[in-house]
Amino acid sequence: MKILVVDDKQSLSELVSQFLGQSYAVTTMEDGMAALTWMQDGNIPDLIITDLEMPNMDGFELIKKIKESGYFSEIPIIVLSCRDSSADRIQCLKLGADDYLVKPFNPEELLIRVEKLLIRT
Amino acid sequence: MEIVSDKKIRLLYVGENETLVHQFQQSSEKIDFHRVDNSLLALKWLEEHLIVDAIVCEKQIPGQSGIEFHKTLQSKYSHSDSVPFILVAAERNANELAEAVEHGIDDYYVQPIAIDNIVDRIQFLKELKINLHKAKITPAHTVYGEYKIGFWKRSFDILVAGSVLLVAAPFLLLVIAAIRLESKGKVYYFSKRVGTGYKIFVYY
Repeated sequence: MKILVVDDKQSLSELVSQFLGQSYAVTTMEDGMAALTWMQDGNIPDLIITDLEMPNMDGFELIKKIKESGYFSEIPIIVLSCRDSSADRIQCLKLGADDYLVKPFNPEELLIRVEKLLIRT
Repeated sequence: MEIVSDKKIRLLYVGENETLVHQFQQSSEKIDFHRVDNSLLALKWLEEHLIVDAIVCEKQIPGQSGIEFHKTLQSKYSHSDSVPFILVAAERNANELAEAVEHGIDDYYVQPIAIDNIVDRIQFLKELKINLHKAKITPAHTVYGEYKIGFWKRSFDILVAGSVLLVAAPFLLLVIAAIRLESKGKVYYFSKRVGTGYKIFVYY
């Protein structure tokens, strides 16, 4: 199972990839544009974990672009953000994200949510 | 990024799906729509018109499959990569999707299709291809060197810390004795903490 982690803060993507790397193949990208370019090259991950605030292309735009494509629309998305307002949550879920986690988060909780989404697909 | 939207998309549709054709024709304010029934006619159309923003092709077209048609296009036009090529299938098939990815087809939609999605997607693919072509965006990979501690710093640290510890040792013994006499329990403070990969270690 391949997981794509999109976050501009290296420390966080490294933490997540170290934690999930024990059971999954994790790739990290630093913004939405890089992620989409990488995916368009023929890499289709099984799950995407993304931040919201990023340069070039932010998380909202990334979710929108993923959901409107035919290749990637079925990939489950988890949003990992420090924004905890319900307006942001609602917007993400409306755009098509499957789950929303607020930073700081418990890595074990993330792992369980990842497992659940991967079983469902 | 260079923005190339706000123009009508000149779209060539290859196939015989009347519902989809109807859908495309309905959104004529965004799409300059052209249709042909099969790949031979498509090649002829391309030779006559030359300019196209995107090709949407049914997976099953008379004579040739959509994937084969894409191959033909690639061998015929060297720069056909810069035009988004989108495949449309009747139902989702994981193997075919993987095959489409492998051949460098830009997207694969399953019916029913939302035209707005396809239009936005084509715009994005066009921008991506133009900007990649001009190398305005490159997939970045930063390499971090390993951190090294210099020899002199290390020896200075050990020497100074060691000698200070030696000098302070008799006083520390006094402190230990005082703690022992004053209160019960351990002299050191410690507690359990969680480290990398959920290993629990004792923290002093």
